[in-house]
Amino acid sequence: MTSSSQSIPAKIRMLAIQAARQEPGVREIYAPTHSIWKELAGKKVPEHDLLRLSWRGDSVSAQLDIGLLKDANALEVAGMVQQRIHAVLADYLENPDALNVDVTVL
Amino acid sequence: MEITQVSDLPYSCGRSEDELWSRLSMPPDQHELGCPYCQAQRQRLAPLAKATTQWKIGNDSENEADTALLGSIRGRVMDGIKAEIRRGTRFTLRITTLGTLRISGYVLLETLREVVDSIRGVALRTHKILPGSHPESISMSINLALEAGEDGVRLTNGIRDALRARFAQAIGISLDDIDINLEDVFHDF
Repeated sequence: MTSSSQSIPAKIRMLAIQAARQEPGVREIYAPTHSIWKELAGKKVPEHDLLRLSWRGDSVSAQLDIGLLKDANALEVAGMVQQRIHAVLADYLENPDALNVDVTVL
Repeated sequence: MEITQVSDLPYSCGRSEDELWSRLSMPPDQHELGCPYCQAQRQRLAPLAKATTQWKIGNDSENEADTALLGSIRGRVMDGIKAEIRRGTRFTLRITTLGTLRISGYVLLETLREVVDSIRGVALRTHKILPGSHPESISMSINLALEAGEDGVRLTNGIRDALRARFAQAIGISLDDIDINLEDVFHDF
């Protein structure tokens, strides 16, 4: 636990993304819309952008879109990914209770 | 200053430079082997032939690079479009203490189609996924065509069972109403 500032360093976001990737059943992590179009416009998009973060007051919202392997159970895998991301980010935040992690299976 | 007179074509042997040029990639024929004019011209044209060949190869590889780049851009545009389609309608899978788990309606429709398409005797027509009676459930509305001679009640019950089983196994969302409407009969010729 180190900070509750209005940002989470890129390396922490990367750790969360890596943790999500390691979950069995995850085939891919979808880039957010703005990243896709930015990349097409020739701008380099950092990988930590895959995990979207937003703040409202003290609460932090993290969002990740994942694609699954054929035989994976969507609810189980999404739940495990949510736990993994929460564990990484909560370790960094002063108030982990204010953290919401939303995972969408696309 | 010495001015060299360039002899007029055709060469003294009667072959034109065009003819010789078109044959440069081939070994000399019987005439060229015995003709000093053609041999001299072959020697003179060889560096030019080499240069144009290299230019052509270079140009082709540039085209290949352009094609690869275009393909990569096209691929990324398609990925973006596919992701956007998938992002369209989302349904809540579960609200946990850590946040919300959602699923794209696209995945649900894909699963629905897989199930119905695997059942013989019916053909899937229009179909849609609707929110269920509680946040973590969905309902479905399916229109089907039935093959002539098939038992509609048996098949629709089979489809409901298969859908519930598949959605439990692959998705984990509970199914509320599964409305099935047999709207047509088809003959399998």
